[in-house]
Amino acid sequence: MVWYIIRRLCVAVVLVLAVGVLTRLVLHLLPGDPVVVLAGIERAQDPEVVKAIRASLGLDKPIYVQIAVWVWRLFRLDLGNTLATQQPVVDVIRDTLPRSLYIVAGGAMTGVLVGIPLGVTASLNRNRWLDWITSSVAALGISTPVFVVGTLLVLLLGVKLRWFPTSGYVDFSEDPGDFLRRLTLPVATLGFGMMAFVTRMTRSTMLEVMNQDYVRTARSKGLMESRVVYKHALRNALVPVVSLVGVELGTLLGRTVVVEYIFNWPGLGTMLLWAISLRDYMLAQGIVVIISVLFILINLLTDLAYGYLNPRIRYA
Amino acid sequence: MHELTVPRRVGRTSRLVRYCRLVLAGSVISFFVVVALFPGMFAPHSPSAIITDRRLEGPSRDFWFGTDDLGRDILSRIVYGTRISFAVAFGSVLVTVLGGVSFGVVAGYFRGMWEWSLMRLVDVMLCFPPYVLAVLVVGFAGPGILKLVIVIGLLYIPRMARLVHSATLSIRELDYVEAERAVGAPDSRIITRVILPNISAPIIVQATLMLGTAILLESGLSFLGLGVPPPTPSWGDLIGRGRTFMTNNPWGVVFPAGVLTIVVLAFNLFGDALRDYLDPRLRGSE
Repeated sequence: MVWYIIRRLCVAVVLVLAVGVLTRLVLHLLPGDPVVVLAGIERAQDPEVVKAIRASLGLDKPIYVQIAVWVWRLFRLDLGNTLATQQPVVDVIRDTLPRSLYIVAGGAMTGVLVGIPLGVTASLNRNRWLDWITSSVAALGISTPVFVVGTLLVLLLGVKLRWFPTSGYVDFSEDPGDFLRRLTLPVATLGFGMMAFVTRMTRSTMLEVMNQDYVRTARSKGLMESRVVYKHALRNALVPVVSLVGVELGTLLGRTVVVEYIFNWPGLGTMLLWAISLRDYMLAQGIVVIISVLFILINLLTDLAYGYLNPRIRYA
Repeated sequence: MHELTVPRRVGRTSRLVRYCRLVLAGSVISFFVVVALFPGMFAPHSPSAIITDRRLEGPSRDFWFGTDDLGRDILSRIVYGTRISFAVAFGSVLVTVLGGVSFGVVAGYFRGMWEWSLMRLVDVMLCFPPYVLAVLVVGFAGPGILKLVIVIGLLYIPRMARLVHSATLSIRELDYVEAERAVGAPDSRIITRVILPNISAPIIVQATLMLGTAILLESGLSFLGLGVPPPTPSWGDLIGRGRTFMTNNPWGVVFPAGVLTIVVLAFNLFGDALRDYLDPRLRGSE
């Protein structure tokens, strides 16, 4: 197990390296020039100015040198400065990343806490109306785009019923109550889709597990049905659910971009859109790399958790 | 994803339900394909006709789904938006299938260095959440339908390549492939006549499910104002625009959102039902 973890860590480091190279390369291939952003169109006509800016950004060197320098700095957590404000990109990310993680963590928790009981209920009432309703809601939740869920929640709970504020962010340290109120809708938006996936997965693995020999054995021992369901069946049914949650966490990370946009939430996603609208290459590539690194870490942790929970997997 | 291997016994009713689902979802999709092909038959107005004194209206006899902030008929814009969404979806899935199948088959059939390098590239590509990468690339490349097709298509190639790769691996050592090789058939013939027909089921299923995903991605990008350039009507743009004027006219959001959800749902149900129908071994969850 220890060797397996070490090997997976090494793979993760290589992946981070590759992701860094690829991000830089993608931005290099896309049209547009950071010099114009930095100097403005008029000053960018002057070859001297252009040369000076290129040199200061290291853009006068060949692309493979640029990539090497960028990846080397990436490992030292130096992502350069933003073009728009000349702030270190790492500082911007440090300020905004937690805000995105609140939504992601909240959405994932909501999805798991609602989805697992729903899935179990559905599986215990297989092919009855309760199962039918739950499965339909799950199918709907999987297919409804996240921005539709968000917009409709704003329309219903924000605009019509006025229960929640529809946009903006207040820091927890300033006003915990307001922070939570403002967090509710974004979390519900992300949580709905997550809930749907978890419900569907829990239902199908529960149905699977309830037919297993060890469940029959537990029943024939005369255990109470609730004990059979929760102690024997659910525990085993949750193993694939854990791995699903890991995969979906990564998806949530991507979806926060839209959710933050809808709710005017100043997180990493909003920063990415801001960077794109300002053509701030440094900030955009920094954010994308950080999101991908988080993605890699989540996948790593998921695989490790899966291996821990399911001892049948061998680490060769 | 981890495939669940133990097959469940399927009762007659449940098989009937599945069949109904396939037919129902299939009809919804066919209907929208017809709408996309002949929008003129379904749109009561021109999608770009502006009637300035009838802005932000709710549903009425003249405008069944109401009007937007410029006084354009929302129903007609949804109808013409179908064409854009379907064009982007089918175009990008075509890119994905062509790219993913060739990479996957080459890697799985020839093995060796090709397999290693292609599959490691796939691993790296899968480290980016697709939505974030799409926002980045489309954001910097600028809006445009062809760009969307290419970007969305390229984004999903790794997933398709991985699927095709493992499918190819699973059959390349089977007896009937071996037999073909023994009679001296060239690799090209083995691939096109033996390998591809035998792995077509999972490819078709995956492509169907990807159609729904591509529509989602396109409308998501257009919602952010990064996808289809206005004034071309697109579902995502309709929802994004309607959102701004939601307090005055909620119908501007509700109708396009409803249609988008129905179409994505239809593709997902159709893909799942198709998987049960074509390849019972792949059945995951219902």
